Amino acid sequence: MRVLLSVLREFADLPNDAEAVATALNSLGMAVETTEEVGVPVAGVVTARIVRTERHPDADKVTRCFVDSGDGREMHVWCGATNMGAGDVVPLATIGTTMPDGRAIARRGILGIDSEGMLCSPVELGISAEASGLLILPHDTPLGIDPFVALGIQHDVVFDLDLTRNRPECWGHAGIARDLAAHFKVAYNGPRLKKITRGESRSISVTLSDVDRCPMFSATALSGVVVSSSPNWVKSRLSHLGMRSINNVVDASNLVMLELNQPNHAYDHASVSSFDVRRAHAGETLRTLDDVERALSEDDLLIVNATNGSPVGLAGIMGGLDSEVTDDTTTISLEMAWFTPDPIRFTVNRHGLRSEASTRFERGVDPDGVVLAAERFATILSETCPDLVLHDGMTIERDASCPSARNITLRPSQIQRTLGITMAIDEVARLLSPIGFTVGASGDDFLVTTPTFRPDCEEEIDIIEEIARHFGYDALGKSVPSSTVHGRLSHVQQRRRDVRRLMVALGLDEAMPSPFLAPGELSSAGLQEEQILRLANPLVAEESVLRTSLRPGLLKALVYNRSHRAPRIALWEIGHVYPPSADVSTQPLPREHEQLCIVVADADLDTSLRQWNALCERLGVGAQLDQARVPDGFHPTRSATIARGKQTIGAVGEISPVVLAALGIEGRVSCLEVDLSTLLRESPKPVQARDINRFPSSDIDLAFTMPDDVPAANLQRALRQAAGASLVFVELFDIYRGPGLEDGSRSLAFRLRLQKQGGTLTDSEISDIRDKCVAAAHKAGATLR
Amino acid sequence: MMHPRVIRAGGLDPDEWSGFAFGFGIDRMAKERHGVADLRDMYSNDVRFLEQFA
Repeated sequence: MRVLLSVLREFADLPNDAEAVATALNSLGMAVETTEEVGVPVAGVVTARIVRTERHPDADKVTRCFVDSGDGREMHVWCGATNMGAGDVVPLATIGTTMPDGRAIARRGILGIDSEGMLCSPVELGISAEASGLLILPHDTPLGIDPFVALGIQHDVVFDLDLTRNRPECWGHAGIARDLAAHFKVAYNGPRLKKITRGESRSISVTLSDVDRCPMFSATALSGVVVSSSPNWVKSRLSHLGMRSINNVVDASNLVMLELNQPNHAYDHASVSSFDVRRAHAGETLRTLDDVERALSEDDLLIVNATNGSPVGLAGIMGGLDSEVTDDTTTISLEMAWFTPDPIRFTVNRHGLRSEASTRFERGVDPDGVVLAAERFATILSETCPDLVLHDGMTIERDASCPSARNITLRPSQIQRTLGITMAIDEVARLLSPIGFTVGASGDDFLVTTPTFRPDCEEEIDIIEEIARHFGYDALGKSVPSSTVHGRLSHVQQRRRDVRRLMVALGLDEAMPSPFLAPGELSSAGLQEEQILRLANPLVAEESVLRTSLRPGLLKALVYNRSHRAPRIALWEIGHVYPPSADVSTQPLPREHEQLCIVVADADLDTSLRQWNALCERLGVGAQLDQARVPDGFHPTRSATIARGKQTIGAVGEISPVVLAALGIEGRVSCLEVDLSTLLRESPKPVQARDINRFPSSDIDLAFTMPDDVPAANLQRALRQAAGASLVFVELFDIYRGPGLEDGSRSLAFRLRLQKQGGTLTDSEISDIRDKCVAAAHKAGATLR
Repeated sequence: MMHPRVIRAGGLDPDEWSGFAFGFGIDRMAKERHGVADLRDMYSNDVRFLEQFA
């Protein structure tokens, strides 16, 4: 919302200090995005008349203009614009002028002919954001004077405010001025009003056919209108506020809206002298002011000429083209209304048509503001229409359902609780009265009546917010809440932190790839790409797929670092993944959970197994490693699925050579991927100490021949079971392939340490265990060497 | 401060409970603390950047 300092100062006795006003606006909750000086005169620019123009045969893009700036001397200027002609008065930047953008005007030549200055557009003078050529001034403008003076463009300051949703009244200068007046403890005067000639009653009939959507509609007749151009001060205000001047009637209407937050519309009384507000019929159309034919639906609300039933405006959004005020108009019907906010928003969205009016109706205007707005409209218009007559009998059709003032009970205890300050009733009244609230007592509580221009104030907390704003947030002071409850990490958070510390201790670097992948990235990492979630409206196609694993992201980071010749790449990530549910038809949402993934370049299976063991030890958990099930995207023999019974919780091993080849990665890459949500949830019991066995132990070493396709783990398991309770540990200490063994088999040598509880093992007991082990090994497919 | 309706929607009595809420971008805080010139470095996954913080 653009706001002019001069208008604020007209409405309230504010200091002429843009910085102080900006600071106040910020502290009152109206964030100042920019403060801009506008209409700053450009020294050296004067009005000049174009005496004649001439084309040059060798320059088809520019025109030679001969201008007179009042002293009768003809000056020559090259000009690239095309909208001017002989007789026009235009701004001339003379030699030596520094333009607002910093450009210095010097004597410059084209084709050897010098230019004695530059003719300016409104953009070049900094009075408009866009222009389609030179600024053309009225023909009777005196020559040789400042064009800003000629146009009445005033030096002013524009604040661009970022308004919060709960301050509808700030969409008019009056609302902001009232707030500032309270802040600076100065008088709020409101808009200047002139006594307007009153005429005989000309009541305009109004029918409210849809009181749910339009519970209040007013209409006033004004005669003696002469449609012409607006006074300079009106044009200047509108231009500074970003609106185009059309004619005195439309400009007065727009200015009233910007000043008082009361959208309004002037119709030619000759064609519209009675109104109805109803829903559109199916198939009905309306050509709006922007010259677009709109197909209407039964959810759209129309303002209708009750005489013939034809629509004259899309209620609260835009008027119709056909009922526009024309040059011949002498009497107007000024319409103002209150529309229910939400349906306005729906219509705006349906038609993709947002206007200054709809922006205000969506937020809520003052249902009691129409009389003042009509008087302000007449005041502005009367300057160009000296015979203007405001007719009595203003129609205000108002249904009981139209919002009005609210009474809200305010408990002093709640002020204390929320703001930490104690406040007596007169203090509350002192803060709230200047912004339109009335405060009375109601037993121990206060009874606050809200003004009709504050529909946002619905309950006690809203009143407390107003008190805080005008007391000053800075003045509230600071206090640290005292609490006996202190925060701490939850069980899962504590365990997650343990894992993070372990990762760092293992010398790994934490990476943070995007949770979104490009289509095809999952399959090139060897993972399923079916039934995964894809974004309907991705910002970029490269980030349109929700990851089902952290692996593709880490592999991509590995490739990136390889290409930057990093000598050592060991990455980990903890993040959420979104694999599809087991049955997407009954459970469309993915099985979102937290995952841990580690990827190390130039490392083998052992690296990932050591990481898995370290993780299990730190978290006090365990699982089976199933070598028979090759996880997707892993090496066919150098990997295992981490499982708990039927539940798969991860994968460990080396990345599949096929995947590595597809990604262009050389060397082995180890990977551990595990469902961290499952592991973090568990609460393992503290480790229980075992008694130390003080009797002597005996070792037996056994070497077996076994085919390559049987995992060593099978044999180790068989040996452990056969050795029974006396086994302390079993370890694989040698693997041999070569002469003396058949192709496709290898020798595996195990050491078993045996020790008995409560005694020393006898030779025969040891021999018995050895026989059992050999038999078990045989059953597992191994032969004793 | 949390709006009483939010507290009510959370199943608590706003006359008894109050709350406040705030937040900030953790990456921006880290940027200031560690003098990171470009925020995007944190998402580059470049080990030359990552290993400085191990």
